[in-house]
Amino acid sequence: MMKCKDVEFEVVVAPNEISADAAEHLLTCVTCQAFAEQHNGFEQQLAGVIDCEVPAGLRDSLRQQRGKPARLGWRLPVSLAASFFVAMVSFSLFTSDPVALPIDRLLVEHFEHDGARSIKASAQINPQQLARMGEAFGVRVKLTEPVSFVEKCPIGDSYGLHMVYQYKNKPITLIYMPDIPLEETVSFYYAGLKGWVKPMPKGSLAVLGGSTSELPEQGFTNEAMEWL
Amino acid sequence: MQEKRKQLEYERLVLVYSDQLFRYAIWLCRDKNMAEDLVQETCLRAWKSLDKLKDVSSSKAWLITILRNEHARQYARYRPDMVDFDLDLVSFRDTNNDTSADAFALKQALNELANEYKEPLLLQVIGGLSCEEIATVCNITKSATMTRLFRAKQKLREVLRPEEDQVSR
Repeated sequence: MMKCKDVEFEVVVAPNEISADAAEHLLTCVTCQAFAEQHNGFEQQLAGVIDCEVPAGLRDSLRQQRGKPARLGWRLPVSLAASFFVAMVSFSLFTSDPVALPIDRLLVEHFEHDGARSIKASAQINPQQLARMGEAFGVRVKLTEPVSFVEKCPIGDSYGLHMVYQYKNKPITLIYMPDIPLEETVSFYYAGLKGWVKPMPKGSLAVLGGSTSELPEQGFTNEAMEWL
Repeated sequence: MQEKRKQLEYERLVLVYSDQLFRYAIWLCRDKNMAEDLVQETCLRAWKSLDKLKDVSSSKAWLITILRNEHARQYARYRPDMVDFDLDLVSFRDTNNDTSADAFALKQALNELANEYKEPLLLQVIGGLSCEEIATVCNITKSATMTRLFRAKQKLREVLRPEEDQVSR
């Protein structure tokens, strides 16, 4: 059995890395439990003090700067926020199959990472900007509702067109993935999200929202965009 | 590495780690603009040498090592010209801002920590690095890392609860 002082040492040094012996000790020692709880409060306070606001455009400027010389106007305001498919990219980059993870899981994982930020955007995207972005994907977006977020996202070995718009007063996320084909529509409902991914003439289109959101009918995809 | 794959991997790194890099950089540079430049240089170097990153699980430590080296190379020499660290720089500017006296004291004590203690602590808190990873980045042993982390936190805890800590000894 470990001594309390040794357990305290482990708790202080790295609360997330304590040994099995220390964890076992913690289960039975009230004194150490109290210490660990108190220390947890300290860790949270410390994290709060160390943390700081990150400039809003930093990530986007870093994303755009690759291959360019440093300090070349990189702090220009960037209107679009970045949007990425972290889990999918990190996984699929090292596999030959771009959709090695189930597509619904990929979407949910992406949304968990980027959903809050994309939904936060409230200002309407300039129609010309939306048109330009759509053209890059060979589509014309025909949504009648204002789009508040549009971003080119890395997805597997290719990119997706990520958009957010309001549908019945709830934000709905659309992700057009031209290089990820699908044989049939996939519906999903988990992790507080629900949605479906539908095969398109080229690639697939995902529609997702919160568990309480009302999603548009699947036929809506035919009206949402047309191919150029 | 194929260009497209390299590009995607770069974007993944930026997505996942740029915030942490900036937060770490601002503690190193003590200046917001310099921190941004440092992160930019770091990412530029990462882009150039991305082919050398063989193990994706070590991406974070790899990037932080680049940042540290870049900081040492480019910015350390400017430090004598710097004014005292503006503590507000590292304060929250959002709703979570902790403006309590404890937070201020903690921030000041952290700033006054010797680098050998402060750095492992920042790497753990900001970067979420394990003791093993911190040891690799700082080029010290794991046990030295643990000792430094313990002492750093002990010191900071004393600032917050001096009487309590003295009594408990």
